[in-house]
Formats: sequence, C-alpha cells, structure tokens
Amino acid sequence: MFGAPEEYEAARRADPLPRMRERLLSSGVLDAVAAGLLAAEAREEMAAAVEFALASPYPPADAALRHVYA
Amino acid sequence: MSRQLPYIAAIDEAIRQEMERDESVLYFGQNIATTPDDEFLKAFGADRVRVTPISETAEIGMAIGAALAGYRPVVELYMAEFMLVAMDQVVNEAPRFRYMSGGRVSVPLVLKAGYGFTAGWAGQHTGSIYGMFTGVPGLKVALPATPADAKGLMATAIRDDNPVCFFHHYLLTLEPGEVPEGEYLVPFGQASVCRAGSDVTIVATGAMVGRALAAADTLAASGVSAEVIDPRTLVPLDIATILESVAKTGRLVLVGQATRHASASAVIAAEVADQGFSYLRAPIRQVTALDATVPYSKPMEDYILPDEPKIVTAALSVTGAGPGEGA
Repeated sequence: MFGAPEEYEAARRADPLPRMRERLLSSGVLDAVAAGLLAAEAREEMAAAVEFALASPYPPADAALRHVYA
Repeated sequence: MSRQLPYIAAIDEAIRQEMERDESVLYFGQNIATTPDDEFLKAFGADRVRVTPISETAEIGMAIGAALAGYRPVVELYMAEFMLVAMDQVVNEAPRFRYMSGGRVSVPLVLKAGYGFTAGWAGQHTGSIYGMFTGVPGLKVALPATPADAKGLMATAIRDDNPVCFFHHYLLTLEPGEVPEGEYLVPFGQASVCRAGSDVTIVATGAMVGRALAAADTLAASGVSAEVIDPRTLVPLDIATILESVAKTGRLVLVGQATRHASASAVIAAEVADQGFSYLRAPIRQVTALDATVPYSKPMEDYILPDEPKIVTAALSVTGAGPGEGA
C-alpha cells in the first residue's frame, strides 16, 4: 500500500458513487428498486464490453499508424 | 572480481557505493524512504534519503537547489515520462545555471528514469523519449544496455559535475550479467564495441543492443560479418568509434527504439554523412520505431518496434545479399 491506511479509508468513505446514490435516495429522486436496476444495468454493460473485447480479433498491425494526426 | 547481478540491482549498487563514498550524495524519490525498513534510509538516514511529494516539479526543483548548494542528488523518477511534467526544471533550469553564471555554479544532478516498457503498457509510460533530452546543451544522457554498464555509468553520472539523465531500459530490469564488485566507473563518451565485424556496422542502444547482437548471429549464418557498437552515452557521443568502424565496414545500420523523426539515430546518420561520407559504400539505414505513439495491442506494438528480423533485413539490404540469399 502506498501512503497511510487511514487515507485509503477516508477515500473509500468519500467515494462519490455511493454518496450520490445515498443523496438521491434520501432526497426521493431515486427509489431503492430503480437504484438497484441502474447498478445492474451498469454491471451488464461492463460485462458485455469485456466479453466483446475478449471475443474480438486483434486489430490489424498497421492500424498502429492510424490516428497519429487528425 | 565480478559476479552476476540483475541490471536494476547493479544500478542500486552504484548508488549505494557512491553514497558510502561521498556524503554529499543524496537520494530523492516519490516511493523511497516511505517505511523505516527502506534499505537506503537505514544505511544513510533521513537527511540524505527522502520521500518527496508527488510533484516532479517540486522534487527536481529541490534537487537542483541542493546541487547548487554543493550536494549531489540522485532523483528516482521511475518512468521517463514523469520528467515531462517538470520540463522547465530538467531543460530550462538544471542545464542553464552553469553557463549563465559564467561557470560560477554547477548542478551535479542525476535524473534516473526508466523507459521503453513496451509490454502492453500503451501510450503514456512506454516511450523511448531520451532523444528530446539530447538536444539540450548542458545535459548529459546515458543509456546503459548491460548490468555492468548500468553500474559503471551510474557511478560516473553521480561524480559528473553536470546534470545527467540516466535512462535505464525497463525491459532489461531483471536481465542478469557480470558486474564488477567495488568501485567501477564507465567513462562517458566511450562507445562499447560489443561484437567485432567487417561487413556492416550496427549501432544500437538499450534493449536494442541485444536485438542487434541476435541479428549479428543470424547475419553470420548468412556469411555477413556485423560489428555491433553501443554508444552507451548519447551526450557526449563517441562518433569517433562509429566512424572508425564505418571506415572498415563501409556500411551503417542504426537501431533505436525511439521514433525516427528527430531521433538519436538521425543525429548519428548526419554526423557520419558529414564526417565519413567517403567511407560509405551503401546508404545509411535506420531501423527505428515507426512515428506513432506506442499502441496497446500487441500486434500493433510489435509492428511499430524494431526487432531482429527488421535489423537483419536492413543489414542485408546494404551488404548486397537479399533476405534469404546466401543462407
């Protein structure tokens, strides 16, 4: 671990995603069911992206020279 | 006496021995002396071995100040790209003081940085960016290719009265090799002839030296005798050894992991064309990285980098035999 353990704990407590979720729940903008659904959708999207990446062929080697300049 | 040491341990040994020898040698870095168990901290104390903030500007700036005050700091930067956030300190402060003070002060400073970590690390921590520091008068640039040179060049860098960029190649980190024990200095500006040959001169630096030597083996099997030269420092550059070799072989292949445009290889090609044109019996060939950021994907990464077959092809193209002929 790089740095003090309490810094990591403080960073975890300050994680903006769970804090935003709490804020939206407590202010009534979001209910627990919708929040759960959002989280599940995000997980599915990430899992699909990983699956797509692993199933994709390698790019052609000479694609290395694309996008160097606009 | 010598024994086997990995490249990275050889560098550490040089720093340790120089710190033992000279109390003015300091060691700064963002991830050193972070615990009381740190070996350098235990050996040399918190005054000389210091963890720094995650700010290269502060860290290198502090080292320049210490150097002006008579110390010899070594700054551990981990990756060469981290020097880019402190370009003012590296390029426009450290190398300018001596000149602009009319020689009244000097900045004996070592910036230790790794480069070339082409192992799927993508674009921002894998560059071979040493070339951009070779065009700054006042800065010296060392590029060790073997554990022994890593030790000897680091010791020389620490004793040098100028700011030195010491670039170690990440792909060589754990490569073992014979390293002399005790005091060992490799002079700057003295190329190493790694393999003698008579048909073509191959100049290579860092991890490319190993690839050039492998290419020389393959060429030997085709009846082509390659001489392999490692300049070891790009500033100062031992052009005399390269010219002497080209006078003998008449052919020059330059191998570098850096991109081609404005590269060390372009500088060497220009010097040889300028000073040794009449020796040349064939065009100078450059086997460099292609002019792109290092890509993440392995086939693309391989595509842009120099490798043994590319070196062999270039050497055969100037020695007269086409690929596959004469084998």
